[in-house]
Amino acid sequence: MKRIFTVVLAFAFIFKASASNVDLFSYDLSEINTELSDLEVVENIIAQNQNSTIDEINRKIINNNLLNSSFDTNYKSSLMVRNAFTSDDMDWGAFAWGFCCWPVGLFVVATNNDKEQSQKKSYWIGCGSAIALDVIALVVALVLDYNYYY
Amino acid sequence: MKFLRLTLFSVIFLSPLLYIGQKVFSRIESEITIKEIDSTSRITTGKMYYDKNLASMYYSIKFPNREVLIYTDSMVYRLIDDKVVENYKSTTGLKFNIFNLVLNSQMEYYGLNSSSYELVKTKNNQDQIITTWEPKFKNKKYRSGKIIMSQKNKLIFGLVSFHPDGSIISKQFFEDYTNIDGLMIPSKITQIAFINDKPEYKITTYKNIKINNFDDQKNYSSEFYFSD
Repeated sequence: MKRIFTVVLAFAFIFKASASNVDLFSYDLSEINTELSDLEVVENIIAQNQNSTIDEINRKIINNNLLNSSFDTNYKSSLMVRNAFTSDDMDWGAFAWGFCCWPVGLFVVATNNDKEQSQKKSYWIGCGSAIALDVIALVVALVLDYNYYY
Repeated sequence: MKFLRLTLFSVIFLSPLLYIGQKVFSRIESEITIKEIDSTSRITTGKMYYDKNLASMYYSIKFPNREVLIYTDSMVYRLIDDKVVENYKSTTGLKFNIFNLVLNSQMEYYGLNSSSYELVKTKNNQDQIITTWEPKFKNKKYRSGKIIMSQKNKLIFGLVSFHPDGSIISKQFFEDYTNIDGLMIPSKITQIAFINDKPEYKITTYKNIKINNFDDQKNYSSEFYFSD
């Protein structure tokens, strides 16, 4: 009896494992049907207006009454979207230009077309950090001065 | 002596014949449409050109903005009116780009067999062959999870990427394969990313795929212009 139970349990486990792997490779788009059909309408408008300007296409999309939901035409191409700036993206050289010598860094980093976006952000973070430190130092100096004279 | 002559003759004159009929694919282009649905709905349309010898992928985007995006192994550039307006380091490169995999005949295993992943399990499941891939090296800073891949009729069908903690990061489905000059290319890729527990959908479709188009040089050159 114990053996039969073990075999049944083993089969149940195998069946569950195989079922879960097949489930892994299935998907259901039913919950986004409305959005998908709207995007198909937009796709058709774009295809039918190949020679129109972006503004004209946007106007046709917004004025189209076939859309079920509102469509925001002001967005960046998904191919250019990147993750948010993190500490891993920090370029410490560019940061140092901003922190120690921002006027030179303005030409070396900020207005240099060969520099990447992350380097430019690092430069501005450097500038911001220097300004923040300057403000703190100024406040501390003013407070100390005030205490000294009064 | 006769045998030696025959061998020499075979090597010199017959071996080049082996290469005749074996096509070399270096270029691919396609119309591309990307539909994305998360908290908002977005659509991107345009054309893609890739020459594996130049190691650059050009996207001539028509909507939502007229612009050119250039992907190289290390950088991504955004051009408007032939001027670079934005650039940043590429995190993914072109190695696992679908068209790079297609041209290099690496689609069968999605390039995983020549990557830092190793095959650890293979299983037949109904009409699918399911393989599990795990990272060869454990990196403390950049940890990767396993990848489970499904193949149908020797063509990749699904790819599920896992976080090291075992949760699913994304699912990709490769469908509607078309045979173009002997290359099997999926014309629809559905990607479902699970970020903050809410699925984000991305459906990419490819139309009018052309292989080895050497007539249209300007779209593959470094001086890229908007194509009509």
